[in-house]
Amino acid sequence: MEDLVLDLKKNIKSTLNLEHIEAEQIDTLAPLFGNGLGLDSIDALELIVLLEKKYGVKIKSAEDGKHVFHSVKSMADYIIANKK
Amino acid sequence: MSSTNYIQSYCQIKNGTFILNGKSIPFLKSDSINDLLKSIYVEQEIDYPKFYKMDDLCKLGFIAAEFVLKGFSTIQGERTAIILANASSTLKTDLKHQNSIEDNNNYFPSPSTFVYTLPNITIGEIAIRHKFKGENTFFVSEQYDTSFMCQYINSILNNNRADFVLTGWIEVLQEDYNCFISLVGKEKTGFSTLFNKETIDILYK
Repeated sequence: MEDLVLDLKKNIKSTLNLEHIEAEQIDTLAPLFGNGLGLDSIDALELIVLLEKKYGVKIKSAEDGKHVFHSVKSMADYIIANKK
Repeated sequence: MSSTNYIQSYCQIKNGTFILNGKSIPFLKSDSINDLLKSIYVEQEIDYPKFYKMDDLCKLGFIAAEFVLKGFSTIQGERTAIILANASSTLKTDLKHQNSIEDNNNYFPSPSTFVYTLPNITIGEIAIRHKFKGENTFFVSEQYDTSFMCQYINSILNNNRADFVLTGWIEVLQEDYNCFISLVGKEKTGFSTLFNKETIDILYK
């Protein structure tokens, strides 16, 4: 789980061009949107592509997306639960 | 109705040279426009993380606007227009997007690349940064048509559709870049040079 979380942080940083922050500085439990990393709707779309491209998992519905993209931890949980 | 407008400030960033209001500004040389613009961003201690998400065209416009607008923080956003032009539109980013969708077996278009496949996004990024809400247009033409652009900008100012216009030519194609941006207004302040085709032709060269 720890390896996956760190890998996710590195991929989030590079995919979303978060050059102002180091991957390790991303809080595993903090909200990604709103007050967290301050991501926007385009970033949300990039995260959907990231999950499919790098981890082979798809978001099944918009409602799922709200929960999955709450934090790095919730993304990692979703990958573990859905990876074939 | 005034028919005379003035360049308040201008900047030119062109393949290894940087001129601000007629003075050459030294900056780090780089083979990559992206690295160059990021180094200027860091050197200028600008705090705007969204900069890193922009494509090269937007980054170039953003940096040029930062320099041109220094000292003009009090201008009214509602009364400031942005009129830009270039030859290649967003071709560099268009090609990047095209590369991401060419292979049917590896078809992962990037939403954050796709949003920059319109040149007026450059205007949007500058407008958001500086809260400019006036008229805006991005023209695409083979060359910098200074006659048309000056006529258009003077029309905006002389018909009282804006008090200031941020305007110019901003071209990026692969690693070549050429940006000439000026702030034009009704008052004789700042760099304070008459805004007309002849002046722009001399400054732009």
